[in-house]
Amino acid sequence: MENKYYPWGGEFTRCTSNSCVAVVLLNIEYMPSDKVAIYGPLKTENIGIEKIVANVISNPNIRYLVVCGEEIRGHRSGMSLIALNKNGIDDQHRIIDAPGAIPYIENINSEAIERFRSQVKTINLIDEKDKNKIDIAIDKCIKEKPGSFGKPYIAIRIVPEATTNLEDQRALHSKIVVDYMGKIEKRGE
Amino acid sequence: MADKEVSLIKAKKTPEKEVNLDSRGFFVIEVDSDQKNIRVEYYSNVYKKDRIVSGSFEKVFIGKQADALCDTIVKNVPELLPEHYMYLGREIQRAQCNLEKNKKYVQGGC
Repeated sequence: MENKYYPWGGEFTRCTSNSCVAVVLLNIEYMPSDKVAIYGPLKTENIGIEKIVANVISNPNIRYLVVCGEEIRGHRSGMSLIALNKNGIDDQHRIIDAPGAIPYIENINSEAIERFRSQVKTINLIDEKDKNKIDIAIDKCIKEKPGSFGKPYIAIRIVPEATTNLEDQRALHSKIVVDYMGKIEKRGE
Repeated sequence: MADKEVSLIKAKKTPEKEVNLDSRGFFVIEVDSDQKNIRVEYYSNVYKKDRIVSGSFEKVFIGKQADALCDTIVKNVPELLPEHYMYLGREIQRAQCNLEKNKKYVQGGC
């Protein structure tokens, strides 16, 4: 389903692709309603955040990122994600004013980060444990109906490895000719 | 008197703080419950001021079976530390068990 979105893949759940909300789960046992576009956990303040950025900007319908649950101790991933959205990165690729230990963005470029900052507004519900309050915040975002941001932005593409053995010339030059009855007329050259 | 003596070695877990980080990189293991797959992402280390701060995304392996994933990783990511391969083997096997039992999987430490 919806293979055109979320190119990095990962541990998240796809729901309604044209929804405007994605939900980031820190330390919390909570399952949002299927009215959201995607939801999934965030653990680390570097690669974890990069995955969220790359996947979120691939779906231009996502305009709100609700970050909820107890903050990840040590990593401070939730606040680092919010800092990225607010401040961007410096010339060392470090998220500006992020509280995490190693909040470095190394796999997506500054254009993708700027796209993330423009496309998405973060809703800070860090340390909010009341699931009703989180549901209410999500519903409020959905009611805003902000509309699509435009075209998908593909920051990373995972390409299946070619399986053809280029040393095997038969694979490159063989031809099968089939006649109008579906019978093989010629095999190879 | 025996013809041959063989050493008996009692197993001892290396404390996490004594584990050497692999200069060849690290792996992120996840269970994609939507696609019913195990995903293993390989990253080479990114250093800043002589410490590893992140990874450069190099390869991703997907499959359902730990044996196939391990065999493929060995072929595609050579020269890891032996203890790193052993760690991957047991973690990916655990991911497979959780996938089959439809249980949540969280990657463990080394």
